[in-house]
Amino acid sequence: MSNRIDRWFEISSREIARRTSRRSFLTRLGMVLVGAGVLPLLPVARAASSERMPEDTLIDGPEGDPTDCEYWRYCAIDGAACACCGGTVSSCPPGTELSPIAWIGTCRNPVDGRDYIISYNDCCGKNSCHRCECTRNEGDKPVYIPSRSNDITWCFSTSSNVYHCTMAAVLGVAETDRQ
Amino acid sequence: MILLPILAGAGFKADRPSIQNLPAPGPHWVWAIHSYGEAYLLDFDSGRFLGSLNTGNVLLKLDFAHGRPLIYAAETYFSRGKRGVRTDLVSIYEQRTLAPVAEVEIPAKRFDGVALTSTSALTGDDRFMLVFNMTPGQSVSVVDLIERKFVGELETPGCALIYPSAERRFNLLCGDGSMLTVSLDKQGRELERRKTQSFFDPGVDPVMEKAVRNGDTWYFVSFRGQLHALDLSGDDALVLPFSKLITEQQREMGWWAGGAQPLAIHRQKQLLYLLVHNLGPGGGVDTHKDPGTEVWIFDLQSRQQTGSIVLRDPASAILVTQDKEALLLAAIDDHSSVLVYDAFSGKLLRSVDEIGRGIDLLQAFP
Repeated sequence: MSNRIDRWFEISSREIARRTSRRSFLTRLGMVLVGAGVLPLLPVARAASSERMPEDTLIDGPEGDPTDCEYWRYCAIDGAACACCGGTVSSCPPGTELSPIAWIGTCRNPVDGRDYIISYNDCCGKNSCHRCECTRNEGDKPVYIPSRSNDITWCFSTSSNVYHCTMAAVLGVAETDRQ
Repeated sequence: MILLPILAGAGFKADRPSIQNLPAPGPHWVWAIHSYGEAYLLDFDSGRFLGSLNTGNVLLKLDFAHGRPLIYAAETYFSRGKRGVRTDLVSIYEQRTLAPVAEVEIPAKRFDGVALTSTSALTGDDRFMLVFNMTPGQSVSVVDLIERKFVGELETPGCALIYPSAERRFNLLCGDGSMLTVSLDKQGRELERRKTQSFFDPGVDPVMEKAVRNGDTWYFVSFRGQLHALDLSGDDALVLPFSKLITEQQREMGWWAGGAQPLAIHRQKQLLYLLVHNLGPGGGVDTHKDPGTEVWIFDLQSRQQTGSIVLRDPASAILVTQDKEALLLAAIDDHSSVLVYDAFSGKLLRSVDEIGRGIDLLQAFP
C-alpha cells in the first residue's frame, strides 16, 4: 500500500514537473499536499472518509501520547513535536506560521489497524522548539523524492523559513489495494 | 590603553591582547559542521580547537576552492533575526583569518533542511558556485566567484542536489531514478543538459543522497547496501557495474547502512568506508538514518570487504583524511565528540570532545 502511494506521487510529481511552470507547480503541489478541497486526488479511501477515527484515549502506552516519539502518528516525523511546544498534533504554537506544504507519511492506528495518511506540516518563524525531538523514518525517502522526505525544512509560503516544530495532521484513511 | 593602577615590577612584561590567525595547515585539520549556522575547525592530531565560523541561520556545508585560500558558504539571514526580510548570500571568508571579506546576494530560495554535502558545490574550474534551491520548485543558482556576482538560476524540476564533475558540469539525482547532467559555458550559463535512463528504482531501493567521489567517479550507496558507481567525466553519465556492500544474507541478519554521513573514501588507496548498524535478524527497514556501530572497509579495485572497525560509540558521520597516515573520524551520535581512528589499522587513537553545539557533518580542510 505504501508502494502504491509512492507510485502515485512518483507519477504525479513527474507529470506535473514536466508539464507545468514552476509557479503553477508550486500551486498545484501545495494544494495536493494540503489536501484542502482536493481529497479525491489523494489515495484516500472514500468510503472511510466519513467514519470517525478512534480517539487517542483508547490507546494504551506511548503510542497514544502526542508528547512521546512513539505516538502512532509520528511514524515518519523528523523534528520537534508541536504538541510539546504550545501547539497540538494539528495546530501550530501561538505566533508561528503554518506552512501549507508538507511531506506525508502513512502510519498505522493501533486501535483499528488502519493506515492513515499523515501530513507533517511545519510551523515556522521562531527558533526550533527543541522539545520532544523525534526522528522516525517509516516510508521516508531521500530529498529527491520531496513528498516523502522529512529531511527538508518544509517552511514554504511562509514569510520566515526558520523551523520551529512539526505537527501530524490526519488527512484520511489510506486506500488499500483491491484484489 | 586604559590607565590601570598596576604596580609594575622590574622586568614585568604585560600581555598585549591580539587576534590569532590560523597557523600553517596540518594534514588532519577537519571542519565539523553544526547545521544551526556554525562550523568548527579542529586539528585532530592535537585535539586543538582552531577557530569557528558563524554562517547565518542554517549551515548545510562549506565550499572551498583548490587554488584560493578562501571559504564559501551559502547563508540565509532575516532582517529581524528569525523573521523580517529574508536575504540569501554566498559569503566569502579568508582562510587565514576566518573573517568575512565579501558576499554575493543570491535568490532567497536556497534549500533548507539537514546538512548535506550535496546542497552546493564549486565547478571543477573553481570559477562558479552552484547552490541548490527549493521553494518547493527545484532549481540551481549559479554564482561567478571571480567576478563575485550572481549569474543566473537554472530550473531543474523533478531533480535535486548537486554532484559536480569535469570542468563546468554538475549532476542531479531525479525522482524517477535517473541522473540529470547540466553543462555550463565559461560565463556560467547553461550549455546543454542530458538525462540518463533510470539506474535505480526509487520505490524499491533508493540511493542515499550522501555520496563520495574519487575524481569524476561518484559512489552512492542504496538503502539496501547496493553500491552504485557513476563515471561523470563525460557528457553522458556512465553507470559502472558494481556489487552489494551488504549481501542479502547480511541484510537478513540485520545489517543495514545508515547515518547522516555514512560513506567515506581514501582516494589514493581506493578504499571505501561504510557506516553500518545491526538491529537483529529481520530488522532494520527504514533505518537509513540510524547511527552506525561499525565501519566496514571495501577495496574498490578488488570489490571485496577488507576489514571492519567496531566503534567505541555509535556514530552518525564519518570522514577519512587523504594523507598517508590517514585518520578515520567518527562523530558520535547526538554528542559534540569525535572518535579518531587510524584509518588503516583501525586503532582508536583518541577522542576529541566539547566540539561546539553538535556535529552534523565532517568536511576535510582542503
